[in-house]
Amino acid sequence: MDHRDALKRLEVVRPGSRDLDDPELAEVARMLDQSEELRRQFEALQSLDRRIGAAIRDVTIPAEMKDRLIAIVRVAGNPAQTDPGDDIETGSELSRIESSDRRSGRRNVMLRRWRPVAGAVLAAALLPIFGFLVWHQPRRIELTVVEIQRKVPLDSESLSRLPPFDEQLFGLPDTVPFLERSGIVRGWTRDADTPHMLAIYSSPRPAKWTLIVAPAKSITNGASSESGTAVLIRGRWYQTDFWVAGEYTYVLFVEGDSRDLDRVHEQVRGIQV
Amino acid sequence: MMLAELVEQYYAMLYRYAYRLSGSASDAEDLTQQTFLKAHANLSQLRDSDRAGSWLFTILRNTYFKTCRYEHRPVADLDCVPEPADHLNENSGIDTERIQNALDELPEEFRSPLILYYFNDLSYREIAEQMGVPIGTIMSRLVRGKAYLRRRLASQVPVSG
Repeated sequence: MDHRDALKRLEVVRPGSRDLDDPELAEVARMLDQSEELRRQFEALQSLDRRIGAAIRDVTIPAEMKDRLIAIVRVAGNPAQTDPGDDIETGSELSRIESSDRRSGRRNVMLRRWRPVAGAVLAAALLPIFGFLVWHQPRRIELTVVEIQRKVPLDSESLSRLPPFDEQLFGLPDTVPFLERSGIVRGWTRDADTPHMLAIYSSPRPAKWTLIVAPAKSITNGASSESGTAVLIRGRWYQTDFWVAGEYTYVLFVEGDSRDLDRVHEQVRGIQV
Repeated sequence: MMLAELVEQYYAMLYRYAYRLSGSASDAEDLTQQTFLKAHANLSQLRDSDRAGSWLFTILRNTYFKTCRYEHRPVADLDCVPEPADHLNENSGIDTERIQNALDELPEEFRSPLILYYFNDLSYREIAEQMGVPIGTIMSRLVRGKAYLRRRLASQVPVSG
């Protein structure tokens, strides 16, 4: 091995590491001991690597990212919030933060009925995929059905192959002016016996908030307690909330933080089907 | 090892890695989140907590490959790289944006080991293991990738389309 080859081999040695102890580098380590010129070049290389490494590691971490991740994994790691017998990936894929004040009397029912709610949150996570629809058709309501079963495909190519929605929907009244200003999911599958069928609104524009309204019996008590959710969609955080009023369950998604959620929530709460 | 501990210990490193890999803050956060969720789903596979970092990097990298689109972006020609060292003035500053640009120009098989190397967390052996390629190949890629990076940082290098 000549000087040039030795220097090349030394490229893999991380600054401050014990990589030179590696048997693979034994020969080059010996050469380093014997050649002052090689040592000088190696030290220059290490110095440069330190600077480049520091620059590469110089990436600003988003504020509160750790808290968000901790919250997500805490929920993902809590078996009480997923069906242990269910290997649906959505149970863990969903970034859900549920408040602690759920009513204990409904807890068991909630657990059994968790899947539709999980599907709703997944639906929100998929909304931006359909956000590229043209703006010049604002009154056209596009709906797509995602069958929430095992191994839900999350990539856009798989989603594009899903069958079109052709079921009747429950509708919100068109006469509510407030609803017309935002993206609204106007329905749910009518068949309550197939709660895994979920209608997703394909918004022609990015919606700041989205309200899904579903027959209460299709979600039952799974959404009856106050609960909050944080979902990360293409780098934007959406807060969610669920509640039941009358015969319907409402699922609200709001882009922003909890204050945005509270603000929209106050307005939307008054809306009844 | 609990997942929360993994987050505590590795989230920053994973995010930085994801950022340098994808070149996008939003993609990096998505990738980091997906990595931990997948780690949660497969936590039983982690038998040696000492290898948690390497395991998480592998998940993130695989996730990146599954989600990223391979566009016909310009890549650097690594056939003509100069000799190592002596291409950057010791006192010259290193522009992190230029580093990102240079990384983006590298073919993936060079970019990924380079990022892992400079994050100082994985040895060349671990990088080879993670990427599933022979040690000699990783050595060669590191040498060529580092040389290109130095050259690119020292001066603008034409990129072939």
